[in-house]
Amino acid sequence: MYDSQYDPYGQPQHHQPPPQLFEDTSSPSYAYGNQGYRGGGGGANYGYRGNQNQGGPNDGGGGAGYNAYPGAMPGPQLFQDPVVANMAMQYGQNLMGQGKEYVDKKLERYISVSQVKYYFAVDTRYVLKKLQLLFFPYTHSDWSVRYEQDEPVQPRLEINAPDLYIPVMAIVTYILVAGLCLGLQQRFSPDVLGIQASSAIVWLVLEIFVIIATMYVTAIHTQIKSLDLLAFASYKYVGMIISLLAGLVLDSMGYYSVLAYCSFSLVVFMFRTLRWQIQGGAGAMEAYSAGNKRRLYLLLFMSGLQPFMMWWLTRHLMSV
Amino acid sequence: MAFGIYSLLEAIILCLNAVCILNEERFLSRLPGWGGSHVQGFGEEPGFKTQIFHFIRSIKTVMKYPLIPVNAFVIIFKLIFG
Repeated sequence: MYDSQYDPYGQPQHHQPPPQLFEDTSSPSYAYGNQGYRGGGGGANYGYRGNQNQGGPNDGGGGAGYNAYPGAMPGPQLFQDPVVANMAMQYGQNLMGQGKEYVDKKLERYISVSQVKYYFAVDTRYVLKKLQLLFFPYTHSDWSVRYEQDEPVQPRLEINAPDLYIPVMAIVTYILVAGLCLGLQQRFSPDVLGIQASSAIVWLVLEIFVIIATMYVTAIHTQIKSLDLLAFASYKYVGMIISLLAGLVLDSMGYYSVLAYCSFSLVVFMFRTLRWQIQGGAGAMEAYSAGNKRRLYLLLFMSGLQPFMMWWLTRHLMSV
Repeated sequence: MAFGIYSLLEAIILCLNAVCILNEERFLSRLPGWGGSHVQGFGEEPGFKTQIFHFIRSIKTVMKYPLIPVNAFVIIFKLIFG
C-alpha cells in the first residue's frame, strides 16, 4: 500500500540514469527539475491526503503513518534525495537479480540450461564438416570424442561430438519441405504443417523412448545421455530432406536411389559414432565382457532403425 | 498418418493403466522370478526378467495415485469433446 502511493513520485527519477542523478546535483537544470518535482510532489501530496481522508477505512497502517507526517515534511521528498533514490534503485535491482537467479535455479532443476548450451556451441566449419560426414562417412577414421576434465569438448572444437543445431534446423526444414511436396501435389492446407510437425516429433519421441527402454531392459550402462540420443536420432532428417528434394526433381526413381544412398551412409555414420560411444572406445572391443554382445545388438538395432524411419516419414509425401 | 502428440499421450496413459492394472496376488506372484529378490553376484549383470519386473514394480508404485485424476480428466474431456 505504502509503495503504491509513492510510485508516482519515484517514477520521474527513473527516467534519468542513476549515475547522472548522483553527479548532476549542482547543475542548474537539476535544481530546476528538483524544484518542479517538489512543487508537483507537494500538490499531489495534498491530493493524496484528501483521498485518504475520504477513503479512510480502506487504508492500512501505511496510510496512517503517512498522515502523521507534518504537512511541510512530505514523504515524496525523501525519494528526491539522490542518495535515497540510488539506494532504492540498487535495492530494486538486487531484488530483480534475486528473482532471476531463483527462476534460473528452478529451470535448472528440470532441464539444465548449461547442458543444452553445450549442444549449440557450433560454428560454420563444424556444421559443414558434420554435413559432409553425414553424407560421406567412409573415409573418416578417428571417431573418438575428446574429453577435457571429465567433460566432452564442445562440438565446434570436436567434430565427433553430437550437436543439436543441425537436428533442429533439419526438422524445421523437413516440415517446410513436406509442405512444399504436398503443395505440388495439390494436397496442401495450412493445418498440414501442424500435422507434419506433430507426427515428426511423435515418431522421434517414440524412437528415443524405445531405445532408452531397450537400454534399460538389457541393463546396458553407457555414457550416452538422452540429449545425445536425441541428436543422433534426428540426424536422419538431413537425409530425408535431400531425398524429398530429389524426389521433387527426379520423381520416384530419384527419390528411392537418393534415399538408399542417404540411409546407407547414415547407417555407417551411426554405427561408427555409436560404437565409440556405446562400447567405450576402440580398445574395449577386444576386452570381451558378458554385456558386449548385447551392446553390439543394441548398436545394430539403433542404426538399423534409421533407414526404416526415414522411409516411413517420407513415404506418404511421395505417393501421389 | 494422423498420429499426433495427443494420440501419443493417450497411448502412454493407456499403457500405464495396463501396467497398473496387473494384479499382484492373482497374476504377478505366479510368474517365476517375481518377488524373489535373489542376491546378485559381484559384477553379474541383471537379466532381462529382473529388469522388467523391476520396471513394472516401479510403475505400480509411482503411478498408482497420479493415474486416478489423469484418467478422470481424460474421461470427462472425451465425454465433452468426443
